[in-house]
Amino acid sequence: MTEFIESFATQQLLPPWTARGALTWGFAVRLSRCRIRDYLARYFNGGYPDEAPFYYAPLPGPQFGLLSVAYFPNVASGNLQTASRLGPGETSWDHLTHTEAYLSFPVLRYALSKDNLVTDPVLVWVEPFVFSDNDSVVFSSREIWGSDMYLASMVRELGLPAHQLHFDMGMIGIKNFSPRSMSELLAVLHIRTGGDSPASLAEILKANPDLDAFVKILGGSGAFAGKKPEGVDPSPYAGGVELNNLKQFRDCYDMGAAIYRSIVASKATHTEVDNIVVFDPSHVEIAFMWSDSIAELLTQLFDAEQPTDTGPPPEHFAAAQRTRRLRAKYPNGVPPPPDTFRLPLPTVPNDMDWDMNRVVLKAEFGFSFSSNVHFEVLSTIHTYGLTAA
Amino acid sequence: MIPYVQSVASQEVPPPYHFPGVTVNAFVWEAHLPRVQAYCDRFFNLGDARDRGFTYGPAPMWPYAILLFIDYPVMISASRTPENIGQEIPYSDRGIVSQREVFISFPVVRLGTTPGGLIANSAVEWALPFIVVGEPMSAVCGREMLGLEKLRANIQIGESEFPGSFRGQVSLPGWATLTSDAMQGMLPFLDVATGPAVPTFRGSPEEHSLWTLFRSRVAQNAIGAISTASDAVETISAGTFPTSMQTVSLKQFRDAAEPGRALYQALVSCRSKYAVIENFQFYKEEDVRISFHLEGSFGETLRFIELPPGNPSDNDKDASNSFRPKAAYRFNANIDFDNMRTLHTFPVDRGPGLPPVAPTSDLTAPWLRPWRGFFGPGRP
Repeated sequence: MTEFIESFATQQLLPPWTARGALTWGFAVRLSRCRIRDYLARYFNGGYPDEAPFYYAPLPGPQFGLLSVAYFPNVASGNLQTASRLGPGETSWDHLTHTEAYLSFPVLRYALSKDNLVTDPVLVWVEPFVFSDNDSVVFSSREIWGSDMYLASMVRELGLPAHQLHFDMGMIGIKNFSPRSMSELLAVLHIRTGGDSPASLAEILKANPDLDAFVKILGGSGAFAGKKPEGVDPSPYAGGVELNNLKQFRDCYDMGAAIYRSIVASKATHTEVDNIVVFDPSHVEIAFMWSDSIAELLTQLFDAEQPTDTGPPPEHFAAAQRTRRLRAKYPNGVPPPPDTFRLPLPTVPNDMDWDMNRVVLKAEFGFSFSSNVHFEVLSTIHTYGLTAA
Repeated sequence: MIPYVQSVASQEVPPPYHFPGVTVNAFVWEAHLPRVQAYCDRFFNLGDARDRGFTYGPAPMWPYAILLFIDYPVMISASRTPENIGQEIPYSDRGIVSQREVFISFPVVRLGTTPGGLIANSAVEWALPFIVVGEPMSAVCGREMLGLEKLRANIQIGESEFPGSFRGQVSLPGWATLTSDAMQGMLPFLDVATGPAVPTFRGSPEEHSLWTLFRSRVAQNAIGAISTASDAVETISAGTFPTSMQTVSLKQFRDAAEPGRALYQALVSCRSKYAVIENFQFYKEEDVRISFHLEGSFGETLRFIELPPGNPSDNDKDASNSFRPKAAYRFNANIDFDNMRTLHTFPVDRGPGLPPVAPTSDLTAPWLRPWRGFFGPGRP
């Protein structure tokens, strides 16, 4: 095989990597079957120009996705090539810290024969979006294992009661599309938990039986703390630990064409799982802020045609008012800072523009845990364009 | 053609772009030609010279490296043809982005390895061994579409101590030490400070300064006239007198399971065309200090760029390399970024069970392309 030419700019987080002391918060939200089907048709099931020998389909029954936040305080590549920069015998280098926010949902991947027969369903996860606050992770995830990852500004409030979460995320985007609109740091996502659940897992499932199959899948997937929770039956599906990503790169001339497209299988394994907490879902706030830059994501994935609630979450209302006053004062745009040399300050949540309406998602189930995470690429299970259409 | 599926989460705005009102601060020093050759051999001259049909090397007629701080207040998507994006809103209708960019560049010469190739495929292009941007989507587009090795950085630009001066600072994610327990952090990498632009109350540059060539108003006006006429000059001369910067970069991607292996390698080119150049001013070189921090993981950054010896009396205590450039200047301009194309796709062995990527070439030199388009074979 041909050697990759390394340079300073390709000092990436090479797989496999291990994260120690990771904290994960997961929230089950309802998704629409037709949106999942459309997503799979768009990303996995089409002719590009040839079809993969797989067919991806939604699970039977109610559809749920897992909206997660994961804080990795210490990630390091286990790739010996990376460690070899330090000399022979070294096993890890490139330690970094980052936070991720992502949506994933389980689907069934069938083997597809040349006669269009679908057989052997296996449960795999797909991840329509993932945001990280670390450039090295973004470049690695996109360029190596094909994650649809984007850089975002993230702030997790510290000093909350144990395991509780207040998380705000923003990214550079455009609030209202227009040829003269300027990009800015827009608030995108707000999550706040409001205390542990007083009910046991069995009581939660009894009250919300639609969740039963999803929690079984979580139990068998490794996404829910690496082992099956007590009182939860095994997953009814084979597989359940694999993540499938569409890895693709644009042609430099034709932005609608790809010079490479494949499906990559990977998996994350959790070990030393501890501090499992189930949240009271009725007190979990999840709000996506509605901007033109994010609207398509909200419509295509969460079936939201318009905002569900007016304005930002109450605790960011004052920040939105401040943005509104600034815009009234400078109707043609906020002037640039004075031409003096200033060092950047760390991002705080209310630096983001919160002056938008929001889409509120109902959390059906919420949990958190701490663990060590081991991520590895399994294989490229299909490369497009190698066979005639 | 394999279609690219635009993600619903993507905020990418692919090129071409139009950048009006750009401010450029430029710093020039002597390049070390053997290192430029080493860079070309590592990133451009892959495989056997006879098979690929060209060889890159340094440009002895312009043996300099140039460091540019570019402030783009407005970035407009400027596709001249309908965008192949289905039902989505055209990029140019969405809005505008501002961004900052810092890069080091040196010219390289591509020579065809056959007599015919020497005439038809030779060209002067610019290599960018270091490039950082402040805007994450610019980094993603640059890396994935154009093969530019863009990293995202904190780029601060403003005035230094004196009115009319310049200061630019770049911080990058890196590791302060090459030890197994080092944690990545945002570390200072580059700091540039100048005095005010000349002529200045701080005295004139010395007579060997490049500024002395341009100190007359006639010469300054000539710069503007050349830039205004650049379109006509380039068109009339069919590219033999280039007025733009055509870059070359290695676009490559890793295999997922074996990241030390490549599954695609190609040379990609694009053009930065400067127009309406205004307010061209020089800095007094003695007033300019360029400091690089090359500790820890940054040690590999400028492996192919020889920095001039520093001035011990003027060294930044914390910097590993501090020096003054040969020339320093600034100007305002409009920049068009366009003309992206794949020059050459290298044959890549993708491993067992997969057919190798077949080589392709589109190396015709810019000056010959209009003639080839007129007399040559039609497009497929």
